Amino acid sequence: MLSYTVYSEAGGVGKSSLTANLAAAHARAGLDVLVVPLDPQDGDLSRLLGVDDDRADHEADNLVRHMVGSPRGSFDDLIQSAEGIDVIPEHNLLSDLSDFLTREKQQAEKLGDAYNIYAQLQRVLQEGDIAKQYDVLICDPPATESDHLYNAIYATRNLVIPVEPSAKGEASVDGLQQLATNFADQMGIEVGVLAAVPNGFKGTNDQTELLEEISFPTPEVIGDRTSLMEGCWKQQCSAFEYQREHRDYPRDHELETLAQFDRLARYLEEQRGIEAPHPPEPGALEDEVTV
Amino acid sequence: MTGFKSGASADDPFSDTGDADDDLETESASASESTDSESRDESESAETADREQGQETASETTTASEATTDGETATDSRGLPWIYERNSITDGRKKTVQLHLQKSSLDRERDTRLEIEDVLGESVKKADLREAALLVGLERIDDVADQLREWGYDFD
Repeated sequence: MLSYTVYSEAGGVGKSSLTANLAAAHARAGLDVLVVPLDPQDGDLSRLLGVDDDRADHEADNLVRHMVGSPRGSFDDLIQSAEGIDVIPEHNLLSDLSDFLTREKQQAEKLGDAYNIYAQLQRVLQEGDIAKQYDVLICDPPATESDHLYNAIYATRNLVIPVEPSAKGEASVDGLQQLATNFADQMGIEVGVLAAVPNGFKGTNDQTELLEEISFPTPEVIGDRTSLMEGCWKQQCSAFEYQREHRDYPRDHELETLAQFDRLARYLEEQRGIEAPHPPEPGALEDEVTV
Repeated sequence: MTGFKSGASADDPFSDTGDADDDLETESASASESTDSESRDESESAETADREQGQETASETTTASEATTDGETATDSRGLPWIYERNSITDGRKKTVQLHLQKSSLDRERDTRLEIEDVLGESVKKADLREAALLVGLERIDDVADQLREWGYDFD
């Protein structure tokens, strides 16, 4: 299974949009995709994909309950689907995740048991047997150093980093490297960076120079697609769906961005030796099978 | 095996349930360079790979995926067996082909994998199992022909 966390230390770099569109790109090529967004704030990935109906419902079973060992139902029942992508929707209880985990840890320690607060998402996913059911797992934690982030990294072991091509973006990549290195060493795990994805690139000299400073592979550099991404949020769908259903005519530069998502998905799949059954022609709007 | 690196992590947090996606029918498998047969099944043409089977070093390949492990590829041949020398399941596998399988074949693969893991006393990567089975199969031409007859080849 290919698993990765889409993470950036800076907000507003299109993290959730990138996650949704990569998920859509994997799925339209015939892979089974599970997305686990973990943002305690509204305006998140579940919202983007239109599966956030229960996020404020206190009665609803949710991922946090499963992570702290108090589920109200089966793991499978948490999963919702949109555009062929399976999602475990976010719930407002995520804002209290750290408190819940700390309490669990204290409880365990009283009983003399070891408890790793960062391994709980991985445990839930493993118990849910997702490796059998899915080809791709993508986590989308909030853009802050948090237990959400560490649970996501622990469960996926790989990062995809959206980067704003600016001095601020560069600093955030450096900061991220430091953070992930420390975490990996502390936990005794290996964390890989599959790709950095410069996003909102306008082609200025300064930006171009900054791109060269990025020490990770940058298979695709995504241009400024504010209009497309705003449309996606408005219509609650991926860029593929938006282009197909909500644009009166295709814009070439936007189709090229879709092609980039497709190519990026293929690139990431290759890292784990996964071949999608029906990879479409990059950017093709119809599900063209190129077998 | 700790730290932070450019390229895919070698860790698999879900390894208890099998390294890679047991239900994926299309995991890459390399066709070996076979002497005669084109190793062509009914659903797709398996390209013949240009690498020598097994023993070659996982040196750089031309695929884009290799760029991710730059600096990490096992370019130095230390004489280690392949699975210890490579950094990822695709190292040394230049050719990726699709494999469309019947459900029953997938089930058999899964069962047989468990048996082989029992024999070897360790987990076996699916891509390795498939390539090994392919190589062995290509040596046992009569058996393969029988299977093809069962599917209707040579049907009078």
